Amino acid sequence: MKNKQTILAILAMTILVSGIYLLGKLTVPKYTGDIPEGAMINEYYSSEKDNNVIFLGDCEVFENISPMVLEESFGIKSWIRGSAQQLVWQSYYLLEETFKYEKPEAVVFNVNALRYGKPVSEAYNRMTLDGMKFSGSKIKAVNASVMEEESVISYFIPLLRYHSRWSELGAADFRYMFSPYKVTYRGYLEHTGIVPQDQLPTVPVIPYDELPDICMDYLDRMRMLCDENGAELVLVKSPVEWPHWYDEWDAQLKSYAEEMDLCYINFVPLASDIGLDMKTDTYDGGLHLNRTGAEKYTKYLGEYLKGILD
Amino acid sequence: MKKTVALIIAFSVLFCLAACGQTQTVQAEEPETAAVTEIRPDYGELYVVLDGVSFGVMDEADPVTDALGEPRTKTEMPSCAHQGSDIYWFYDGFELMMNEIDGVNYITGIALKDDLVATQQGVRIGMNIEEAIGLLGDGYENSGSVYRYRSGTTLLSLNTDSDGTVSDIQFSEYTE
Repeated sequence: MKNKQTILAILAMTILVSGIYLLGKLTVPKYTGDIPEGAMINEYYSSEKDNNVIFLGDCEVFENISPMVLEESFGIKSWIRGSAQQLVWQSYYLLEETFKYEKPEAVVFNVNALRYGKPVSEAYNRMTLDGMKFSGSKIKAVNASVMEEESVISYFIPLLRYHSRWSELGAADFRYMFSPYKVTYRGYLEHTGIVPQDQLPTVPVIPYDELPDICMDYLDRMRMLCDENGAELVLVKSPVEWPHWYDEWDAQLKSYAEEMDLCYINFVPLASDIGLDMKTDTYDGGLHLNRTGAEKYTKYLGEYLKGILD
Repeated sequence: MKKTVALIIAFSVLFCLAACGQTQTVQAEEPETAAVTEIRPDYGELYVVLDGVSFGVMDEADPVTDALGEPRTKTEMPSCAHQGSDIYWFYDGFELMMNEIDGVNYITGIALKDDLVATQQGVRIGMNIEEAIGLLGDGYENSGSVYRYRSGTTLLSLNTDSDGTVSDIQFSEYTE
């Protein structure tokens, strides 16, 4: 009799937990519409994980670098683990997780995110963290990222956050419940449109002379993690003029890279050498590159990477 | 057995209550941080007066732009700090940055571009920083060539050249 009660209790708990899990899977946004950036992080898990190079960072990697060109022109296999407004601690924990799956020879980190010393919005947090599989790295990434008004537990029990989507569920929510909606080629989100760069706004007065300590701390942890896993850490700044990358920050990173014997390349002043024409190579007025721009930048970057991998 | 079932039901009810207790919503395609925030300008004395039109950070933009008239040029770029786009309107002598928040356009930044436009205290580009401090007061923070005044949620940043001449005047949202 007691055994039967125990079995029934376990069964009831299993049904409850499964229900919560399945409803969470169903209600979590699938980003099949205007904001595909939220679907990218999850794509990595079903890939082959045979990469020579892993890219990390914000839109300056996943929109400006083409793994297809890197493979075709240089034979370098790569994956971009990028996401919208990816903060440096999120990059760090994504890298920690990546090293559990594979050992790339080089890790390229785009330094633009070092300007953000704290999370900017829940929406951006969600676009990076919701897509991560459950792991120790995800727990640490969530703890490092959540803002005051957010709940940590809702990143692990999505139903707590998304239950109100119940009334707006669509076919895509069922279709992509278990298999991710694919929006990228190896993490690259292609844009083919052209919106020329015209008049850029006035450069904001530098908000702080040095990059936030917390960012430099995570960057250093990333360096050590790469060392432990036998990967070369390469720091790049994508060749776009906006948002402005200040000379003071550039000098700080140059000095850090020199001290740590790292390769840091600021591609902003190299835009004309790369062959970028911001009248035709951007799809949004200069913030990001379109396909032709990404191809030019990738070919230029590839020469550096080839040298590093050789 | 009854106790176990009761416990499970109680747990389920608590779980649902906890779930429903969250007031924020996240939409499928626009993962906004949902809850509508009350936005009130809080700039104290840090604002601009031009041709009888006064405006500052987090003022509703439409009445201001209606009064100022059409700009010389406009541009829009994806926003890093807000949902949607940063909207820039370029006027002679100054620029406005605007963002749409909960369906309303707000002024989120003002950059003065030449000495024809001044802050309401009369601080303008080309002035010596000592003169500017005389007009704005001593409540500034100085870091390198930059002098910052804060009032409420507004930050006024003055950048100076090596000879102490004010070269940039910008109003922006203050973030800690």
